[in-house]
Amino acid sequence: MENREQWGSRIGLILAMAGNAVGLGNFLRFPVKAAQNGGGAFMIPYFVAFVLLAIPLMWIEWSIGRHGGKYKHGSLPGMFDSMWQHSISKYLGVFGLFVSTIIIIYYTYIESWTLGFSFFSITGEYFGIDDMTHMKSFLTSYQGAGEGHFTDIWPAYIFLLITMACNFYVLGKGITKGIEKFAKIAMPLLLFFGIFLTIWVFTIGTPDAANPENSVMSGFAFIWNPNFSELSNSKIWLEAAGQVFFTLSVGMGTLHAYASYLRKDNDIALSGLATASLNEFVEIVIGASIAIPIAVAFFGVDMTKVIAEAGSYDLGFVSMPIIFKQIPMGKIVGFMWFFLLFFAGITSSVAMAQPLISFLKEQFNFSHKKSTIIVGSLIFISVHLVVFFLKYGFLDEMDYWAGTFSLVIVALLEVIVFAWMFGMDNAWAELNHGSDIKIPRLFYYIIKYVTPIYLFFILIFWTIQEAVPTLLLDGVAEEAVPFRWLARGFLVAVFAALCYMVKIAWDRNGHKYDYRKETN
Amino acid sequence: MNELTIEGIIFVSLAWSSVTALVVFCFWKVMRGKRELKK
Repeated sequence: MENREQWGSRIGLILAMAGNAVGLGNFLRFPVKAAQNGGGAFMIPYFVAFVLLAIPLMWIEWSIGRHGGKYKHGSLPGMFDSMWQHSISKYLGVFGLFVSTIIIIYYTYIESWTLGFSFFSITGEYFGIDDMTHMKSFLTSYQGAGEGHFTDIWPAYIFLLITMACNFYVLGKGITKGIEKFAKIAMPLLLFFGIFLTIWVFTIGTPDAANPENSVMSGFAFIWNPNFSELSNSKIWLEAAGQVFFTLSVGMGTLHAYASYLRKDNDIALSGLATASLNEFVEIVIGASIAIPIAVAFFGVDMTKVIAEAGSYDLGFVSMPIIFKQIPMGKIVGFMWFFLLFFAGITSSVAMAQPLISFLKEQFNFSHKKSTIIVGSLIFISVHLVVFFLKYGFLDEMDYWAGTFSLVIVALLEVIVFAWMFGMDNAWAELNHGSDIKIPRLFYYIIKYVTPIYLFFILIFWTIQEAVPTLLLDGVAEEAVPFRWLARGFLVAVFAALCYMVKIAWDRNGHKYDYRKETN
Repeated sequence: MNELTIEGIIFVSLAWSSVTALVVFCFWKVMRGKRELKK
């Protein structure tokens, strides 16, 4: 087996971790959720969830990852096995491998839309469109999900190929020369674009003097004016927890994979906190200051509510292009907006491929090149299902079961394995080992009791409110039903294949694992 | 007209200043401490 790589620098590690966390949700999902759930008052449950859920999970995942790295495990099956020597633990870890593998299949396609729209901004492809109905058909025809400006799928397919090539070029270079080097370029550029766009939003003021109520400040009022009556509604507390959960990319197995390339004495407490705080800065300061305020300035509060209700993609890909064509230097600003989203996407997607690449390298002794080619090929083949069956909800089905519901399952499993099976005293010692900050003892109890209970309630709530109706295909068009089942069959097949690979790997290598011996 | 209320200003100020302070604190600690990872 090749020697395991290590991160080259601490800043590179933090930027790569933050790049993993910062995604499209920071710019599109957060402002929509804040505006829909009490405005400024949303920040109260949001910060509570940040302290009780996000920071503990961030630390848990870094700890599990670094601990697994000691035994050359870069994916959750081996990491769980090293913490809890029970025959079932490695199979529980399959959930982590499953989630990241499924998400990257559809995420690369979404990511490619941002690259395509960056190009269309520069060329002014959509600048002849004046209204949202036509812009929506521009988007759906590009996606191959409807009729409109594009007559075939080729433009989307070409940008998908470029996106996949970018992803696997970075991954092929490895941790230090690929992911770390890329994060050091992409993250500062992302921050520059984000801060530039935030400042630009403030310069817009009131674009139409005849409608003084439509202004950027009205947009900020829409997001931030608190509606305290919402605080008594349990939904806002769960929505805030869900948002915190998504934004930090916890429950995906990716933070663990990155953390496994740390050395056993490297700090994780401060680096983990720095990662979480950088993500929050991008979300709260930059993410909340672009799409919604500018939408209110151009369309007014009522229309923005309609856009927000239609979902994050409509906000990013339908309403924003209409605005860009109305402003000076709209092509450049449009390019910056979509390229910002592209950077946010690609820094996350490279992380999603890493657990499976590590798994193949470590459990099957494949070279890095061979593992990257295998993973790249599997994802490339699978993404065709998403491309061709998009209009039938294939992506939505994958996104719900793998990208939403399973995240909570992985988080709940990992907190149980870490705090209860590994033992909270061992877990606390692991977290604090090599630490550059002193973690308040209060977090010992939060990790042991509060975080799992919090997650358990989220899981119950989501099961009742969303999982059951989704399982029963409520509101799904009749012609889409077979494709929804096809998506479910695909998910089950991938999960079963991963379980089988874990079984083969442990049948071959299991006797080698002696967790009393550290190997780095 | 939908204007930013005093409560809204307080919330946005608190949210922005707290996350900015957290970022500055963390990166200040990182930069003044061990920038390189222990070999």
